[in-house]
Amino acid sequence: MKVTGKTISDSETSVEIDLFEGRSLPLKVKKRIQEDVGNYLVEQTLVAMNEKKSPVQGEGGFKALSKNYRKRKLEEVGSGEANLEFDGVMKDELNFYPTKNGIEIGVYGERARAADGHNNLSGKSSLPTRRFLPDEGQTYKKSIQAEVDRIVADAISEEVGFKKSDFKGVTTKKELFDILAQKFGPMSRAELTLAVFRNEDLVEILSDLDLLGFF
Amino acid sequence: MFKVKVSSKFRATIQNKLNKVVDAKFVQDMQSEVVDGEIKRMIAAGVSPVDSYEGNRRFRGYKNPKKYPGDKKSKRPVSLYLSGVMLSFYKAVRVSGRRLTLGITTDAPEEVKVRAVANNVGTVSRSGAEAIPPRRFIPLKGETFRISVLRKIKNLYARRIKALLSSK
Repeated sequence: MKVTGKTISDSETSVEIDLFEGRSLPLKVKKRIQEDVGNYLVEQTLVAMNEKKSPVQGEGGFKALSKNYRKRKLEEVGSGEANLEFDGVMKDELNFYPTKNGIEIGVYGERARAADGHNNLSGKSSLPTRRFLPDEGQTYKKSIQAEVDRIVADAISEEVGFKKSDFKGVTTKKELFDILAQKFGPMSRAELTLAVFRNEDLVEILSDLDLLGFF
Repeated sequence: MFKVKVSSKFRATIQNKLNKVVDAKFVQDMQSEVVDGEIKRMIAAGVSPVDSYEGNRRFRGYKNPKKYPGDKKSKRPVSLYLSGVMLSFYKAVRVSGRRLTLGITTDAPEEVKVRAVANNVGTVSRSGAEAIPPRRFIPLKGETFRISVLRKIKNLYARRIKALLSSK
């Protein structure tokens, strides 16, 4: 999940994220990944912002508000917290759209410039950086990244599906995990195991073939 | 793996096929990881944990913030949190080895249930105008939770089913 580009304008501050990394996937699978990952990232971004934390790896917590702005926000909103919510419009405008290789996520609308003010993706902002969109070269926090990988793996396994014949001739644990890695993509054995148990049909197939003992 | 079914205005039922999945520990994990760890965090951020018919990701703002919430709480985010009583009854409850519910518990005071439904589906005034806008925090029939919540539920079920099947 790599940031491959960014757009900063009066109506849009967004970053483009590659979700497919060159993988050849059916259109149906791609669409599901875009929808699921896009919604997940927007939701996790909003929750992180409310907790005054960046969802971006290495960015940490948001810096407290300046004394003057805190006073104004307390008077008008009733909160002096650096949660990037004054009237809520910028957060309401946080959204995502599908692109050729994944999604773009950002603030679309009248608060696009304010979003760049906080994220400083343009490099021109004089505000303290409170980044909620990853810049080029950055990634989301490991926990978010890990769940996105699981969403992608589940979309592939559920949409493409498994057949008993996929596991024909499997007699060792290594053979089984090699096949699973081919289907789900590169993952640790622990993640592959959980990916199996998230897929009811696959559990049934492996149970019928008496292969569940390998987990 | 599991299905979200709704037959109440303030509770959703999570159901799975395999018997013995839902035990006390599983319900405890559902409470800490899903209800407290995701649903209530989303609500606190003004984000609906429900993928609703209306499709609003964020709760609608207060119509007249000077009147409500007044000086009782901050105007933003719209978090359904005034005294905290209503959300304290948002719980995971075991029904059977295959079923549990997420939502306002049946033993909650009547006024909590009334308030929960009013917030969840909205209310209209005598003139028919909208009084409280719907701010969905429990799914209605045909709706489900948002993906962040569903992922937590799914991961929890996967761990539990693995533990059950691996111990056979």
